[in-house]
Amino acid sequence: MQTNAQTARQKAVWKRYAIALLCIAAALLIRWPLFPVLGGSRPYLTLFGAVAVAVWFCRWRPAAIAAAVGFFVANYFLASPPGVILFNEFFMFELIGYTLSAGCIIFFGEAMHRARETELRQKSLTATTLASIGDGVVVTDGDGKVTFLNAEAERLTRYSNEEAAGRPLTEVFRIINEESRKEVENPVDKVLRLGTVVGLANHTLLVGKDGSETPIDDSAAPIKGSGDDSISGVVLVFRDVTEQRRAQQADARLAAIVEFSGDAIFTKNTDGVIQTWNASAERLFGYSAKEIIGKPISVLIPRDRLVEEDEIIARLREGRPSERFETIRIAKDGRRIPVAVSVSPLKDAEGEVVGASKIIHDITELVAAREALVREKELLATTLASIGDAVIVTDAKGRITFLNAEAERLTEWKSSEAAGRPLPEIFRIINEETRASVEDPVEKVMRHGGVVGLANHTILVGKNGLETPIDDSAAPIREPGGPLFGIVLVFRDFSERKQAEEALREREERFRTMADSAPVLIWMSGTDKLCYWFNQRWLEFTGRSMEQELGNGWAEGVHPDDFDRCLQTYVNAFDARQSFSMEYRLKRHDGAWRWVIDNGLPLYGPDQKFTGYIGSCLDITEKKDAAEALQRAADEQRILSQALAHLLSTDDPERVVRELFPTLAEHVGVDAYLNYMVNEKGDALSLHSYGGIPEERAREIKRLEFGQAICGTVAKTGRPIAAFDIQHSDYDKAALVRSFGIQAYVCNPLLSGEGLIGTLSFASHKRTHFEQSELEFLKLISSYVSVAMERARTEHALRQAKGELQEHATKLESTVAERTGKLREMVSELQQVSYSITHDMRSPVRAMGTFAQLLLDGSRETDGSPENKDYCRRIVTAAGRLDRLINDALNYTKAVLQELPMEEVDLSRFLSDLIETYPNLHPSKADIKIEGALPVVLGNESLLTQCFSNLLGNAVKFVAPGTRPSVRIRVDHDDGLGRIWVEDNGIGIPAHAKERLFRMFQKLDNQYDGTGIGLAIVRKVAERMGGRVGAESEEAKGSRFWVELPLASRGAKR
Amino acid sequence: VKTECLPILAAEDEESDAFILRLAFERAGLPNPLIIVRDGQEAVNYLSGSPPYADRFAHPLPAVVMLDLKMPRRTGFDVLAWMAERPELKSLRAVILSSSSAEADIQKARGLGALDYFIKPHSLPELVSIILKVKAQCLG
Repeated sequence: MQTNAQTARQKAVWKRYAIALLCIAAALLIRWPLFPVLGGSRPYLTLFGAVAVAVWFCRWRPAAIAAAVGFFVANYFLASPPGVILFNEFFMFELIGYTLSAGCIIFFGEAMHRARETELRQKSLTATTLASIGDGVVVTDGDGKVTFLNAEAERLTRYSNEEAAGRPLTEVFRIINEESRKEVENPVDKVLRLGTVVGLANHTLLVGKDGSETPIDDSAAPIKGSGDDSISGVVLVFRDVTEQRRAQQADARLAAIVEFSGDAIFTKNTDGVIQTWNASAERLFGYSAKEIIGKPISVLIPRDRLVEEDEIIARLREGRPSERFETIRIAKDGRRIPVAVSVSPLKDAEGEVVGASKIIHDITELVAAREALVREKELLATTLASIGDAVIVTDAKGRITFLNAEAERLTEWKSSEAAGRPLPEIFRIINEETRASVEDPVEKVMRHGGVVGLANHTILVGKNGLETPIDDSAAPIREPGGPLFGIVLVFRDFSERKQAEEALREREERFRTMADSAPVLIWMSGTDKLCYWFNQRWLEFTGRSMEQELGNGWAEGVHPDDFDRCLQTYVNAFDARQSFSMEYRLKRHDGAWRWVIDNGLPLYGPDQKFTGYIGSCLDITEKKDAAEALQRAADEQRILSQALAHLLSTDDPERVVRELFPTLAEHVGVDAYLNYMVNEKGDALSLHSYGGIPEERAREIKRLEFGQAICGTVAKTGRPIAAFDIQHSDYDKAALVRSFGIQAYVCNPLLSGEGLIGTLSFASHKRTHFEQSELEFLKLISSYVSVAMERARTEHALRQAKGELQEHATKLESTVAERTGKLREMVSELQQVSYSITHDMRSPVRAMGTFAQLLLDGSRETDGSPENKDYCRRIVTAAGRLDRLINDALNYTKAVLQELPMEEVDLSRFLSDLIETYPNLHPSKADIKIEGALPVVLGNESLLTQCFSNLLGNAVKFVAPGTRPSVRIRVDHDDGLGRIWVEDNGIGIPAHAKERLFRMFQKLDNQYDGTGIGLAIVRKVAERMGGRVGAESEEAKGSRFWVELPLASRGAKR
Repeated sequence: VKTECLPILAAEDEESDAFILRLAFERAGLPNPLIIVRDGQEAVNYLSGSPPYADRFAHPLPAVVMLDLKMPRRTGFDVLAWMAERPELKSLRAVILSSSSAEADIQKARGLGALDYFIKPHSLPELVSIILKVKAQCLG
């Protein structure tokens, strides 16, 4: 074999060399005929082509040898001179050129050949791969035309590779949407457009040539040429997903079954850790899948049942399922849920048990129903056993199945003994009288199918011969509409019932006996509202017989005023079946009306049937009287307090007595009153007010003397008098009232602190007596009236006095106003006078002075005698003094009268200005020193100027001749006041003069010029500012004057 | 017309006061002629140019008016009030020379437009100094 292969290979090698030499030979043959044309030049022309062909088909070694052979042959035969090979320079040159050229051709030819070989190998590899892979592959060119289908693609598209080649992809690869069955966009177009790998939409069906449909999923990718981005085709890879889909569907179905199962289904691994959890499990246990998965199953199992799980796991390990069993599981909220559990093992592919699935069925309702059934059965059994009636149950064939205790007693059969026996054997009944057997009720029921009753007078005969009168009924047992299951026979010991009826009758008899002996009146009425029975006490009370009272006869004894009301109450209550209570007057056997309270109650029989009413009455007359008395007392209290309020709030007691009278008349039973008052002279009584007496009679008794009639007597003695039954008495004082037709009369004195002021009498024309309480009451009223009258009188007097006082005050006020007016007028006149003085008086004085001065001045040159000069000088001086006097007087008036707005005055500034203004205070004339800071005071600057100019003027003026005035000003602070001191070195003030120092027109020394008004002005000003003045002095030691002025504020105190 | 040559009009009802005023004027040495009328009414007549003062050449408007307050017919206050109502006399200055030192009078006069208020002095030299002061205020 090996040699064969070697031989074959060698053969191929030789074949290649042969072909190469043939090629060269062919080239030389082609060159040969051209010799005449080309001659010896270019002898190798055709050789290059031959080399190229040789290298392509025979590879490089044969080609190289052929080329070398060709060269020498061509050189020998074709190059000139032909037939020889000249190994000269030219030959060398040609050899080198030829070798290079042929070498190049061989090299490239070999390279190309190798490249082609590689490509071919690769292609074949790809094709083989594509053909053999499981996925369908379709390759297209850049225009979307199919170039290749692999085997799987051929299977699915039903096209063969050859058929499909060159067709457009859409024709071969038809895809539609699984649901809409619409054509899906060709993925190749998409790839060509986008230039990226694209996937196919889900649920895509590939439609084959023959119409077959295959679910596929696929992807398409562009084929790009290496080195550029141009797309030279598309590869489409797709897969048949039929199997996969089928598996998925099966899974989904199973999952849905699990998920939507009404039972809780979950799985756990062999360690008991929960792996899956369906919706019903969530609902049942309250855990969401998220929170429970991964938790041990023991969270669901009550602690006392954990052993169950161990058993389950043990079974699982053996691979056995646990049969359905009932148990309890615990929900998230701690609720214990009765459940039925089925467990089956989960195995992996190798059959290894990896866990278990549990199906849990909620059996809460089932358990509840089961329990209810048991309870019901028990209830039924208990009921049957305990009811007083005897009960026998048979099956459909009339055989005994059950006897209750009473039935056992009456039949003398035990339930266990009787079971299964036919009914007639146990339930033997005979007619009471004939003692013949009675028809078996069961047969009757069977026949009729309904409930049947037993004939009367039936006697049950017991096993041991006990006879009991019974009445009974039998009923079939059947489901509604269903077949007969059996019969229930219910019967009753009739003998006991008879006894009971007798007992009832006896009880009623006892009740009546008791009712008759009760201390209350009792009646009973039937459903017809008519009374059918009254107790003995009632009959005794009314003094009537039962026959008279029956029906509505009793109503005759009810007071006519109360009858309608009572009937209404009774009927209303009766119709509503309600109890009632009412009061009315009932006529006693002696004819007296007695108040009774009647309480009625509806009566019901043992079967709750309404049978009528029963009522009991109690005589409450005494109680009622007491209540009325209490009411009366309350009324009296009310009247008294009203009267008191009236009397105390009015200033006209007479009117009050009149207003009070109707109320009194109603409540006390008086119908007339007389009120006498002591007259102004105090010698008799005069009628003040009255009521209930004709006016003309009243006029007759307008005046009563003390001691006259009852009122006069009361007034005289001051003690009350009451006269009763006047028309039948011979009391002489009562003659007057007797003539008025009055029967009862009471007169009370009205007394004030000072004694009697009058009398107040009340009378009745109808009543013969007043009761003691009424007398007391009227006495009290009288005392109230007297107090009120006294008070009114006092008030009246007070008011009068007040009025007079008021009048007086008014008069006084007008007098004061008048006088003030006059005074004001006077002051204003005085002001006018002052003004006139200023103007009219000063003018001539001034003229006088001026002219005298002129005379004096003018007489310097003329020959005026010294006397004349002296006279003139005196005139000037006198005129000057007069002018100052007038000026000062005017200033004083100002200080007294001028309106002065108060302002803050800074004394330091003020005094400096002042000193500057007045020439006589200038430093040239006097030393005036201000010590320390002066305060700010409250004052009027213009008046303060008056004040201080006078003070300072005096200080510098009154000095001993030849002495230079020296003044010191300082201030003492006091609380809210500043005391300004002006101290001089003057002549001082004689002690005797101090008193009149500040008075008007007081001149202390005639040596000095002055008007005697200055200090008066100072004082006046200080006083008007709210301050004071004063002076301290010793003669010849200077004076110290002070002025106190209010400080502007505490803050100004420095 | 120079103010120095304009007359000064004084209203003074008191004969002696008028005399003293004239004397004081002479002493003061003012070049302006002094015209003295006897009361407020005459002053009004003069200022309004009513007869006998209709001739403004003979009776030119004065440079200053000096008024006493208390005068018959029309008081100084009346004249001030009358002047205040005349716009053509707005530039005419008026001073009061009165014996009243009442603050109320002073305030009232100033309120009615008086340029200054002087209390009649007791002596002639004082009056002279007042006139010089008026001259300084109104004619200077």
